[in-house]
This record gives sequence, structure tokens and C-alpha cells, in this order.
Amino acid sequence: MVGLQYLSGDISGGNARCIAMLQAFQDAIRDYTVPSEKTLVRDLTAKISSYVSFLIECRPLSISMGNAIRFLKSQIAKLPLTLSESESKSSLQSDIENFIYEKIILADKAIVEHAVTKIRDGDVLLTYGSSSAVEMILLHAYELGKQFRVVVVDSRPRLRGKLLLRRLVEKGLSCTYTHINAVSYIMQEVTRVFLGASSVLSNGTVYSGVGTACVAMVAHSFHVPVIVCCEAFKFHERVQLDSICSNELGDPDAISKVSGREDVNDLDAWANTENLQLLNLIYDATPSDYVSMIVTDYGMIPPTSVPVVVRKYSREQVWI
Amino acid sequence: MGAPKKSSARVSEDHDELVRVPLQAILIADSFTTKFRPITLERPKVLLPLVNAPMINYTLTWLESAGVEEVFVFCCAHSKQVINYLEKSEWFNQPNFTVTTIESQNSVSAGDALRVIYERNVIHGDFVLVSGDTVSNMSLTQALLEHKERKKKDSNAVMTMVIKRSKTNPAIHQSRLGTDEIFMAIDPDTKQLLYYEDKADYSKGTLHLENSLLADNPSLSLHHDKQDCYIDICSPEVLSLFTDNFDYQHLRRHFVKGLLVDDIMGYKIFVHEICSDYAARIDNFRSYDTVSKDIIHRWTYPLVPDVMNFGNTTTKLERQGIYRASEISQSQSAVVGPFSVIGFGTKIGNNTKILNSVVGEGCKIGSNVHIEGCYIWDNVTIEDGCKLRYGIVCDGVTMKSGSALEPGVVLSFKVVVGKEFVVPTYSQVSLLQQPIEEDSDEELEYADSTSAITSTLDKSDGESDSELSDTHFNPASELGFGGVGYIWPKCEGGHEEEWRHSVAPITEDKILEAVKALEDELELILDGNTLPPSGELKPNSIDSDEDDNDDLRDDFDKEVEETFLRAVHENIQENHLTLEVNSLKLSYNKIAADCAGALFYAMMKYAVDMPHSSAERLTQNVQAVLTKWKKVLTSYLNDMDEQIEVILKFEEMCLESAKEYAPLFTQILHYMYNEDIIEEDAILSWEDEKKEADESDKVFVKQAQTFIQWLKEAPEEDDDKED
Repeated sequence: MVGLQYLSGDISGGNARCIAMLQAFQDAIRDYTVPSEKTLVRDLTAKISSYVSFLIECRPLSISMGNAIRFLKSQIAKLPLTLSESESKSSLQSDIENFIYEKIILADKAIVEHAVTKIRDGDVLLTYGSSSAVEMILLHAYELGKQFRVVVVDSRPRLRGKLLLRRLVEKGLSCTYTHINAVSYIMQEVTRVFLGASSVLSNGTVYSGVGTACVAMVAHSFHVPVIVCCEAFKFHERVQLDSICSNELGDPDAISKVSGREDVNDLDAWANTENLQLLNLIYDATPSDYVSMIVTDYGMIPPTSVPVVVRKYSREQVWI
Repeated sequence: MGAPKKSSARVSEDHDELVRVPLQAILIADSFTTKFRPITLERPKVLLPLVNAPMINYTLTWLESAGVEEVFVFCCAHSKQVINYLEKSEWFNQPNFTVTTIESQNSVSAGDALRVIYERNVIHGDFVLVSGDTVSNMSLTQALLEHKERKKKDSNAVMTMVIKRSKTNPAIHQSRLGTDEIFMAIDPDTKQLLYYEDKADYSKGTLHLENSLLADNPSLSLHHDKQDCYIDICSPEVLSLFTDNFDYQHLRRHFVKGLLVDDIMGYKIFVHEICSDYAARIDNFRSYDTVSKDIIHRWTYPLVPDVMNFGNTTTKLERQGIYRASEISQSQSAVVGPFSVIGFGTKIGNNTKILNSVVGEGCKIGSNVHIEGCYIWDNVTIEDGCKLRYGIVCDGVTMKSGSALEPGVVLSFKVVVGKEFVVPTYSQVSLLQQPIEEDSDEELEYADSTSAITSTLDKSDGESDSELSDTHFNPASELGFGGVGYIWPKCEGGHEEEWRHSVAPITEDKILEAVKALEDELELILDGNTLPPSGELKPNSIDSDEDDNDDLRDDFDKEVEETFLRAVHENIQENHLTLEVNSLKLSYNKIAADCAGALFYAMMKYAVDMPHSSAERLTQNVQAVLTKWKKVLTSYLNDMDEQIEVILKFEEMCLESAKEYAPLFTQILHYMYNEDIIEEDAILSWEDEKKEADESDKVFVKQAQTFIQWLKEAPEEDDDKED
């Protein structure tokens, strides 16, 4: 069910996908009964793996989801054999509950608290796409009565910025909406760039929705500070130098068709053309040089300190 | 855009086998309303600057770009000014675009204008009908094509109206353009307009649709989120229709509704909805504000200040929607906020703030001035320390130092606001006194006298300014020390309108008020439905308002009374009088009881008005009148309810209008009983009804007690006798 929602794009965004997956697992564990002549630990791990492979079929996992699955599996493995079936099930369910609460909801709150201190009166803040953490920061700052303006930069084909824009305007923020083509024009007015991230890699590279790197680079060349907001559970010890080596490919039709414009049909028969390939990347990697600061639940850190967080976080997980 | 246009032209040539007629448009350069007063007393509405360009320029530019080749500008009020302006502008010598002016001094409505145009016989094919205050960037091609296709299939499809989805505020029932919401019924398949109501009465909360409307159409969609753009594509028949129906005045109220109601001719109106294009009409100050903002936000592109440069100045768009013309001198410390327009040659002093405003050409703005949400036209002088919020300031106004405008103010031409004077909210200030009559054609009468004044003023600005302030100089003016101008007294009903139509943003409390009123109304309607009707008979259905009901009744009563008096004086026969009262009964939608009551009232009134010296004489009068007109009255008194109504009416009269009857109540009642006007059952049930009433209401019951007692005993005697 959740997988199909991923496929259709009803659930998108790192946090939303992760929470949906964990809740699905919670349900799965509740419905799970240990078959006879099998141990819970082994069988459940296999079961979870099969679920995960279904999810991967629907849409490749994001790094944050990978982290969450790893956490769940380690929790299953650590279950003492002495526990009865129902006890171990309830302990797993509460573990998942805690994970969602501590690592996602509380983490977001901490990030908002930290990031709001970086918004001053008269600021012009730019954001790209739609990030739940950035949205919360903006709304919180607005509630605090800070005077600022928001520039929402968006890009085809997903146009997720529109949704963010709608929510911000409804709350009464003063907004400007533009597409990534105009980012070099609008960047002159901007005083700060707030970006969300799908993941932060241990060399400080920010792995996020395609276009983020472009925005960060333009901001860097205009000497505008780039602030990346990312929860610590999305950090990963992997090192990635460019965005091609590990990425997700979207539906190529999405970029060949323009919704609401039937007259733009030059690429309609692209599948029949042998020497044409459409590339619809979902993510890209922003080198750490272009990132001024990363806001996490542990505080505000420079991108060079990411390995510290990764180490601390993985140690913490071990000790849970 | 080029391709579809060509094909449309070809289609019409192939199929119609007619010579292609150039696309024509009628532009009515007069709105025939007084919404823009006091400004329109001195300058026609179409020449008022909208973001520093006269409104008519927007309309003409759009018509030109939409492929219209011939435009007839109909001028009425201030026609000289319009014609002079057009002559000076470039519109008369454009290639492929001819502008012709038609002048008429005695037209008082759009209907008259179209009749004049019909007489000129200049329209040969389909034409576009717009008013000179329309701002749009829509492409007419599609709408024209649809219109032509429909016309080919059905020659009765005479008009295509352009509509657009509007944003409305549910609480105050009006769109962002300050107009009321419109209810439309549209056939979703054919797009035919079936019902149009722009003056829906929200207090009733109901909408009346003809039964046949639902019966004849398989599907019908009812909209109230649509906005009428007042752009119509008409067939030539429309003009002749106006000539045939000489009482059509208003385009929508009379013409559209007239066509929809009239099923004899079978003419049909269709709608064309635009989605992404812009179209709006400036109908009042609020729509002036909204459309100005839309222009500044570039929704009307290419009709934006930096693209359409009228005259020789160029306007440049800067970041965050700031438009600046050339030769502006602005102090370093002055701030021009986003979405503002500053005109040519304007000077701005130190520490001045201009936010969300439009400033015209050649204005002088002093230091420490705060301007927010204002529309300041040309050559305005604002001295140091003024505060202006959400107002319209016309040409040549002077604001002395320290003065202030509260939200919603309109300052007409050449007004001078005195030192430290605060102009109260929503006031309208003009050099001219407010005309006494509130009539829509008033504007026309002023046309000649005022155009003379303004034309002299236009010639020599500086001179006349000093001249004026000399002649009108009055230290104790309404506008503070050194001020010139009159604050117009608020007209009745204006209070309600002013916040709806002014440029000031609608305040929170107004919206809350409206929401509350709405809830109250709902409650009222609910109450009306749940409470049992009181002793008084209610002839009308519940959905009509109480006040409404009373008004109708009064009218009806008067009407009946007059008819009766006429009958008395002219010796009209009884049955003729009955006939007349019957027709009144039908036209006012009354029942027999009302007729009886009204007629009885008229008779008694007549009797009491006849000269009488004593109570006895009065009784005789009454008896004479009643005997004479008994037949008429009894023809309405078939039922007991009606007789009771008469008694109640009599009682009411005795209490209020004709106290002389009070002592004679029983006597006259008895007489009426004897004359068989009123039966005993009616009197008894009247007494029954009164038992529940207050003490004060029982005066007459007590007075008639002996009579009633006698009545009660009488039948028994009768029975005894029969036995």
C-alpha cells in the first residue's frame, strides 16, 4: 500500500516517506505471528527484507529510509531470546514509535530552534523545492514576528515548490515564486539560502533534490550563505563525489510532457528515436564547498564536521 | 496567435461566401454611473489615470492587439475632453486601426448610446462591445470563432459574454472588484446563459429560478463564482434590439435579463469563459485599486507600465516591482517600497517612505512623508510630514505640511488640504459642491459647465492654481487653515457602500461584522420558519422579508384608498370599483381579507373626513357610506377570516388613525351586524381571539361586551322560537 503511494508520488519528501514506511512496518509487526519451528528474530528479519524489496521495486529507497531499516533490523537482532513473542513485538513497536518521535519530530523541532536564530529582520530567504524542515523554520520565524520575504525557487517536472508556496501564502508570508532558470537574477536580492536535504554524506556532500546543487553554486558565487537543514538520522557514512554514480532515475515522460500545454509535443515520440535518451535525475550532490552551514538536531555545524555527527550518531544507535 | 487568426478568417470566407467585414468594436466612453464622483464631475472616467496612463488607452491597446480594426468611441459626458484627448494622442493615425468618435449629449444610458450608434448605421458585422474602463489582455480569436460557429448553427445566438472565475469573500458577498456576486445559470454543454442576477438579495438567502428553466434544460450549472468581464461579442441584431425595445437602458439589468426572460423572440446569449487571460472592468474605487495592483503585478502583461509607454517618457521596471520613470529626483534617505510606480519628473524629499503606491508625473513630495497604498495623480504637492494611507489624490492637489489622509479618502482636482488637518476616513473632497439630486444622468448636465472650467485649468496650471486659491481662499475652510474644497456630505445609503467601494483595504472588523450579520440573518430566517405566525394574517410566503411585506401592504392600502375615493367622487358604479380592487389584489398578490381590510379602512377614513359636528353625525356618515358601498365590501367578505380582518382593522383605526371612532365602536359594529356586513360568528371568534391578548388590547372587547352578550343570547332565543 505504502509502496504504491510512493510509486504514484502521493507520499514524497524524505521525512514523509520514512514515517510512512516505519508506520507500515509497525502494522506489519502487529499482524505478524511467528510460524512454528522458527525463531522470531530470524523470520522477522527475513519478512522485513521482503517488504523492503517490495518498496524498492516501487521506488528506490532514500538514504534516510535505509538508515531507518538498518535501525529496525539491529533492534530485531538485539532482541533478547528470553522475551516472549508478544513482548518482543510490543518492544519493537515502541522502538519504532520512539524513532519517529525522537529522530524525526523532535529533530525537526531542534532544527527549527537553531535555524530561526539565523533569520533577521529584513532578510530575503530563498528556498528550493519543498522541504518540510525549511517550511517549519519559515512559519516559526513568521510566528515570532520577524520581517522577511521568501523566494520560492521551483523546477519542472515535479513543481513541488508550488505546494510550499501555497501553504506559505495562506499563512500570510510575503513570497516570490520563480523557476530555477531565473535563479541568477533573483539571487542578487537574497540574503540567505535555506535548503533541505535528502542526505548528508560524510565528506560534507549534500545529497538532495536535483537542482539544489545549482542553487547552492549560484548562491556561493553571489556570496550568499547557504544553510542546509537536515536531521541527523539522514546522515550517512558513504562518500560520493558526483551525482551520477548513485542516483535515482525518474520517469522520462515527466520531462518530455508539459501538463496543460498540449501544443508542446516535440518530444512525443522520443521512445522511437534511437539516438535520444531523456535523463530525469531525481537527486544531485552538492559539494561541501558550496555549503556554509548544516543545521542538524545536534546544532549548527560546518560541513567538515559531518563525520563527527555520523560517528556519534552510529555510536548512539549502538547503545540504544 | 497569427496562425489561428488566419484560419478563422478563412473559415468565415469559405463558408459565408461573404466579403470579410473588418472586426469592429464599440467602446462606450461613459459608465453612466456616479461611482467615481466627485472626480467624474471634472473629468470623464475613461481619462482617469490608471497606473499613470488614461484608462481608455488600456482598452484601445487591447482592442488593437486583439485584431479589432475599427473602433467607435462613444462619448457622452465630457465628450469634448475625450475627443480632444484622442485627437492629441496617436490613436487617430494608426495603420490598420481606425478610431472614430461618436458624440451624443443627450444619452443617459448604454441603451441610448447603442441606439445612437444604430442610427448612424456604421456597424456591419459582429462587433465587440466594451466600455472604456476595461483592462484585458485576452485574445478574442477563440471567443469570436465560437460566436461565429454558434451563429451559423443558430441565428438567434446574438451575444457572447466573456466571464471569468472570480475570487469572492463569502462573508461580505462581493468580489475583489467591489461588485456584488453574480448568480448565473449556464447550460454546461452549450454554454448558453439561462439566468443572470446581479442584484441577488442575500438577506433572503434564496434565489428564485423559473420552473420552466429546470424543466426545459436537462442539465444546468449554477455559478456564483463567476465575474462578468463586461466584454461582449454581439451580432448586429443587438443594436436593432435596443432600438426596438426603447426602454432598455442598462446593458445587463435590462438587456440581458430582457432577452433571457423574453422567449417569444428566442434570442440566446452564450458565455465564454477565460482561464489564463486577464479581463476586468473598473467599476468603482475598489476595482480601481485591484486592477491597478494587478497591472503592477504584471497580470495584465503586455499592458504594463514599462511596455506600453504613452507619451515620450519611458518607465523602467526595477526589482520587486518598482517602476520608475525618467528624471526622478529622489533623496538618498527616501525609501520606495516594492510594487510602487513613480512618474516622470517627480521629486521625493528626505526620509520619505512610499509603499505600494502609484505616484504620477511632476509631483513634489516633501520630507518625512509617509505614503502607503495611495494613488497620487499628476502635479500633486505634498508638503513635509504628511501621512497618506489608502487614498486617491487627483491632479493638482496640495497637501500642506503635517496634514493627513485617513484610509478611503478621495481628493478631487485642485483641492488644498490645510495645515495639520486630518481628512476623516472615506470622505470625498472636491472643489465643486455636491450636486443635490442623486441621479445617474446628472453627470451629463455638468458636462458642459465643468469641461469649460477644467480646460482653462489645463492650459495654465500654475496660474489658475494661484488664481483659484485666491478666489476660494477661506481661512476657516472645511479643510483646515488654508484649505480649499468641500467635504461632500455622505449620501444616504452611502455609508454601507463606502467601505465596499473605497480603495482602503477592508478592515477585519467589517468582515467580522458582515459574518455576524450573515449569521443573524440566518437565525432570523430560522426563527421566521419555526415561530407560528402571530394573530395577524400573513398573506405573503415566508421567504419575503417582514419589512418588505409591510411596505407592500402600505402601498396596497394607499392604492385601494385612492381607488375608493375616486369611485366616490366620480360616482363610479359598484361593480366597476370591485373590478378595480380585484385587479389591485392580483397585482399586489393579496388575498380577499387584505382587500376587505383596505376597503373598509378607506371607507371609514372617508366617513371621518367628511364634515361632521358631533358623534351622532359621524355615525350617520358612516352609515351612509357603508350602505352605499355595502355591495363592494361584502363581495370580499365571504369568509369569516375576512370579516375578522375588518374588525381588527377597525379596532386598529380606533386606536391609531381615527380616534374619533373609539367611543362609537360598538355602535358601528352593531350597525354592520344589522346590515349583514359582518356575521355574528366572526364577532364571536374575534372575541375569542382577543381573550388571549393584553389588557390594553381588550378595550374594545369590553366596550362591545354587552353587544356580544346579546349576540350570544340571541341565537338561543332563535332556537327557542324554532322549537
